[in-house]
Amino acid sequence: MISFLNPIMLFGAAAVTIPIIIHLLNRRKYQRVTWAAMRFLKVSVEQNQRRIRLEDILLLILRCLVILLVVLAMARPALKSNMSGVLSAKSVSVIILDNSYSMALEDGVNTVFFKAKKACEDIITSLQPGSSCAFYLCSDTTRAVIAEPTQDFNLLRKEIKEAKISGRSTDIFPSLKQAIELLRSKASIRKEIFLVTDGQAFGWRNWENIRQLLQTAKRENIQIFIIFVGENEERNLGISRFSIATGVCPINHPVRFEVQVTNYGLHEENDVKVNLSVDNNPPVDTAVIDTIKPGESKTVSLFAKFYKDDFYGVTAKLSGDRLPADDTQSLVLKTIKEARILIIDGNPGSEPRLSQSFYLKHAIVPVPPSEVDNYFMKLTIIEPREINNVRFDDFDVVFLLDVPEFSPQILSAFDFYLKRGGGLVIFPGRQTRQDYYNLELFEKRKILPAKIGKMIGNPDNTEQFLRFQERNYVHPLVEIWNDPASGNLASARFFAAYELIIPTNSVSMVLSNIPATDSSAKSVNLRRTNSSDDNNISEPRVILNYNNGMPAVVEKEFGFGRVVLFSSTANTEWNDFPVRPSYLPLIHRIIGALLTGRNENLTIKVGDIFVYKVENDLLGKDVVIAPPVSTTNSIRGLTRVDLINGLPTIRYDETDYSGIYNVMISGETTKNIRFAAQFDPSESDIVHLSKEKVNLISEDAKVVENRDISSLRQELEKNKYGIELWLPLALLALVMAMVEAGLAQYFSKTK
Amino acid sequence: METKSPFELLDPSVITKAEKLGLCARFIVEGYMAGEHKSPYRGFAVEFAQHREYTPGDDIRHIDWKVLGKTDRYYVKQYEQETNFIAHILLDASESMKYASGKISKFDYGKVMVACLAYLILAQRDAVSLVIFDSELKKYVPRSDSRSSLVNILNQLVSYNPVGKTDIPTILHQMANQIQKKGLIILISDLFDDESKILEGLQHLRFCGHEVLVFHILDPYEIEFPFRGLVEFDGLEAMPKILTRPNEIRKSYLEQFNEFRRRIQEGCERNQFHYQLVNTSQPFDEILSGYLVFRTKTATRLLR
Repeated sequence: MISFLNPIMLFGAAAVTIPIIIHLLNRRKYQRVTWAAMRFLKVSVEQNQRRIRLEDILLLILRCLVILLVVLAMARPALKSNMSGVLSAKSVSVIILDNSYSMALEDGVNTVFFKAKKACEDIITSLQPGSSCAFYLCSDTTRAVIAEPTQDFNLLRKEIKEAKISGRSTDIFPSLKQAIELLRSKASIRKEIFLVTDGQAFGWRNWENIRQLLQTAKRENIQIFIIFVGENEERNLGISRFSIATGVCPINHPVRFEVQVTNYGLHEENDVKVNLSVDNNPPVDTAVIDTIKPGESKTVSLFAKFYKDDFYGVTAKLSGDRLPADDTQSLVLKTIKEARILIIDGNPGSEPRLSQSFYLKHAIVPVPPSEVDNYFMKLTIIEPREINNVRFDDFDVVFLLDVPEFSPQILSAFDFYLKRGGGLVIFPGRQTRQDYYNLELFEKRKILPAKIGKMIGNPDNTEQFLRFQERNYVHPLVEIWNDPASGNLASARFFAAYELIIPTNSVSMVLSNIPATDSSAKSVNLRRTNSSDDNNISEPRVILNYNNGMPAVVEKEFGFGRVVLFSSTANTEWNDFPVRPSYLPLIHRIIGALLTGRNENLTIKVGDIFVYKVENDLLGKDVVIAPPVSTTNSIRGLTRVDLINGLPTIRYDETDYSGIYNVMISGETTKNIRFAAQFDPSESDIVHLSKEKVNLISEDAKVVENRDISSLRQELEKNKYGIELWLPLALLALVMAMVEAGLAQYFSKTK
Repeated sequence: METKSPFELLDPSVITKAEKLGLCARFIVEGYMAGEHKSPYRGFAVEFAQHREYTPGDDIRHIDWKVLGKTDRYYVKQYEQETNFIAHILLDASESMKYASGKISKFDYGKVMVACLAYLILAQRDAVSLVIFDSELKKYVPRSDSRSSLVNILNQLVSYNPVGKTDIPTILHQMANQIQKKGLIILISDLFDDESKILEGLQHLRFCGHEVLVFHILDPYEIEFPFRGLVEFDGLEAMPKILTRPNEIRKSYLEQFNEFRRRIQEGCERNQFHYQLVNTSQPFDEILSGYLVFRTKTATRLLR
């Protein structure tokens, strides 16, 4: 089948009429001669007329043919055939190399990624001279290393050689789509995409879309080669979750960490050792999991103690297996010396048990009286009438419990306090004046994350109640309860609560309500957006919903500080939350979050943007960010402290690797900021695409399996096709033109 | 000062005026004679042979005054070569004779030829008559040996414009029937007619005892056919037009044309006609020489 690479040139075929027109016009241009010897002329003409006519026609045909051949050559016809050599069509290609962390799987000698790079080299070698090729790195994002096809194969080889495995997971669809769109814009008979991947099923989760893409590409004559370099691995343990269990990280007190280990393999694993180390020092704690069955997850608690008020990088590590990338997970925390908490109890009650602050104070300082002085939480409880004697700056977190209203001076004090980084937690109650709060705190000062609406339920009716949501905890403060081992937040019953009305243009409200239908969607849900994303820095966020979808706890950033608003009382007047086990850890987590101010997100997901607010005097300073030492990437990132939403902020998005990043601000040697990027545990599931799916792919693309890698080049050669015909056509046109010139010369000789 | 040949002086304007034509003819002839050629008066009828009694009309220059003085009777001298030749000049005035590749057409050239020949003939004391014809006799100047008849001839020449078709054989037969006394027939024509019939006509004249001289007058372009490019040939004598590339048929044309000439020439030679090809691009010397040679050869035969 012939196709044309420049079909628009075919319109030039109209130029074939030019010789005909010239021929006709020339017949009108002649010399007129009055002649006497007509008789001899007549005989001569009659004898030669036929020959002359044939010569004319022959020359005309040749001229038209030359033009037609030139036009055809310019239209670049191409024929599909298995032929290599001079006439074989040059190709425009894209190589997509999977650099997700599952490619770090080792076979004892090399990693899958190493083999993949070798396959890429073979692909480049198989390309015809004159062909061009682009190069993408594919993970859950597409990185166009060489965005436009280049004929510089040395550059291609160099980029492939320098490509590194990231800490990201896989998503084949976006890269494939981008490659097809690129090739669509190129005029070539041979368009090829080479996807080199380990064949992990997780990367093909957009299955239907990928199939459609493959079918579309096939229709558009874009040939796709899928080279699977990985093999099914039957054993793999990975850390699926690593988080701080306690809400606050005080020095000199043990901090509990939870490490969840998942068995992604097909075999039971025994005696799984989990180590905990701080700042790459020898392990400070170890746990052993006796048995993890295939597909099962187990959680262990590990403890570490810190002795300085500083940033610490804490790492959980498993004993190595063939995929070491998921055997280590890190987080960063900032310890505190002590936390100064102020409770303003708006309804102390007739006896202590009835006060708003009774359960709260015990939750905040859950130690016997003899140990209170040594406890890091320093608690002060006052009543509203004493509020004017208080300096809010003396406290790290202020709890307002059912306080009806405040004086303008106190409101202003709240304003300054929050802007300077203070934390405010508000529990409403029977005395709370909604209209006052809505007017002063919500509308005028914009401190409140939500408007306080009408009361829902009846505190005296214990038959009807709301509960917290049972699953899909998205907010970092409550993420830990996604693991059932952490307890059950939904056990508390709320008999009455205020309706919290959040402005409808808030994005964060939607994020907490995504239902989980399967594991893939669940992993998406768990991948929260960074709370400091530019779009919602000062937007309210829902921490918890009730099971009817109504917001139960909402928070908002204000200046450097944060405000958390509950919808029900802090005591058992309207609910039984304070007597539930999850009450204490939630309060502590809230306090912990408020203590770190707006920079709670020292641990992000790989690929997320790290955002950190700093002091005003650091504005404009250069910032150097060193990637995790575990990677072979030695290139440091460079950014600066910029003003974002009115606050000096460090913003960094090159978080492709999992591990601990060090942030150095120029001229600030004492500041030792760190953050951690954690890999997506979904990538640890390295089960391969099923045979059925591979067969389906083979219908629209050429699949090269791992066993054929050594003869990959031959495999690729077998599938070359395409021969361009412009050169033979152009040569033929040249020959025709020479023949025409020669014949015209010969015919015009005197006969 | 550069001297131009009489031929180079030939101009169409000359040919349209009888006086100029006559002067031109004289110029050409005397110029020719003053060159390498013998005087027509030497070796030709200059030796005294005998007396003859004067009859009115004789040239009084030939009256022998001595005899008159002695005898009181008028006698004219008769010279040795004195002739009664009558040269009948037949000039083809068909439309084909109008063709001209340059300034002078075949007919114009023919006119000058006739003027020159008439002048020479009369200078040799022969008589001359002129017939201008195409498909029929158009103009006739009766024979005369008087120089004054030259004027008449010239007047007929300059006033005639060829328009008709050719029919040479008919005229030749007509002349053969009409001319009673033997003489010289000088045919000046391009002979674009049926050559076999032309030869028959000439044979008829020969049979009647005339000597025939054929001046085959042709244009150099007709002889060489040098045309190039695309040409539309518009035929004279009502022939249809032909559009062709002459370069491509030149060889064939020349074959045809030369074959035609060869047949004419061979026919003339076979019948003892004197044939001379006249190229209108050439001077008149050859024509005059040709005539004089012919005149010498045929004078004896005619006198017998």
